[in-house]
Amino acid sequence: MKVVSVINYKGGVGKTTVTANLAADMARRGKCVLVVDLDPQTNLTFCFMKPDEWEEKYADNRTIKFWFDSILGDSDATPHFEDLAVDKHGIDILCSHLGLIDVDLDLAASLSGGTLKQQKRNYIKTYSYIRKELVHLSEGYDVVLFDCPPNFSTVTKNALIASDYYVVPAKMDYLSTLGINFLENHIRNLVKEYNQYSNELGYREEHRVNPKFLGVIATMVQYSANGPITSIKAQQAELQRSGFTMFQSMVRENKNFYSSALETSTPVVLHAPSNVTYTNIVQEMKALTTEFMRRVGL
Amino acid sequence: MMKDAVKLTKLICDFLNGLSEEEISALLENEARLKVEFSARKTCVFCDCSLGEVERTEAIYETEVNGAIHRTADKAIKLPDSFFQELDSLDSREKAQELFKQSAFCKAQLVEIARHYSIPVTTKDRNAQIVDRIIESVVGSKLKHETLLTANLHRRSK
Repeated sequence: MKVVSVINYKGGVGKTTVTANLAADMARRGKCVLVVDLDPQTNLTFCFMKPDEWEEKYADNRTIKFWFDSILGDSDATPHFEDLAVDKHGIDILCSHLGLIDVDLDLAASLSGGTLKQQKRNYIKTYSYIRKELVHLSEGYDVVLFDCPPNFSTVTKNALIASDYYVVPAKMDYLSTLGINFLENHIRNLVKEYNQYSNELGYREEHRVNPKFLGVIATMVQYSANGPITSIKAQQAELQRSGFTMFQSMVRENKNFYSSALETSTPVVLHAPSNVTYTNIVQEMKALTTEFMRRVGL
Repeated sequence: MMKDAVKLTKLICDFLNGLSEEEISALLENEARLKVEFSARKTCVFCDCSLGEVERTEAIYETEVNGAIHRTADKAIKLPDSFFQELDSLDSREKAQELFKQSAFCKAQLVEIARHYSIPVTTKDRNAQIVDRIIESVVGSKLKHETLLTANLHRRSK
């Protein structure tokens, strides 16, 4: 099972679009896929269902918030991800909930402890919830994708600690690419701290974490007749010089097509458009999936 | 690519337009032959500096039509690998400025350096602007990357 976090501090860069389309295309190719919407804005959830359907059928007891509440409430009957997930287009989706913001606060509160040793134990425990849950899932899914919120919250850290890889969709502009450096810094510190505490507490080697950076996916790319516009290529070249791996596949800008896909609750990669522009977008999305699967070893 | 093809076609058409009626007639009746020939300039089209020390891979050439000089798309100019290696290894913007000052490149060479690093520049940019852009993209980005990657996340505010 491959576990991948889709993450970027900046909002509106295409994280959810990438996650939804990767999941849909991998499912279409026969993979068993679980996507977990960790963003309280519930954008990924609403890529696959209407808000009223979510409110009526799933909001109360089939969300990641419900799962966290069960864990933190020390309930004996904690449900598993697969019990809560909803099937849409052949993908299992663990919906989000606006109340996930409160979960972050509860998790953060659980980090404190009396002694230094207790604090380190709480640290490991607090950031390992999702990781422990995935051990239960390892036989069921080929791939788990986490759509992370645009911040470095406790929930996001849970996802990263549980992940084999992380991928960073990003707009190729100056400020967005600066943020990737910050993100990388934070992740390295999180992993270092987690492993250090794990070591000091005498936990076994398999407790160590090492999520690998899979690459940056250029999103919202504007094209001219000769390919991506020069400023896009310039930013990509700069990122590569800084040591970041770039995906060769890119996600093209097209507000109309992506907007209409949301309205039909169907990711663009599952559409069979009739015009050339939209067909190109679908093909590019499929190429992205192919490259993603190759990089994670699926 | 399309633009280059159109420009090249225009070159030929301009030449043909310059022929007399008798010459055109002779060509069409196979009584004359069309021969295309070019001669490479040995100086830079922008500032007439000598390119003698630079290894030329292809020619920069121009045509004269009705007294006006028309330049074709500029071709690649090869620059020494040692320059790129040195620029890549620098850790300060000041050192990079000094390197460019010592190298004394002409605009064509600066444009080629920018092209190597995928930095968008136009021939309308001044040399100093092109140099600044290259330095910021190559050295500046490295410094930014290092700063943000190694920033102390636990620093307390004073």
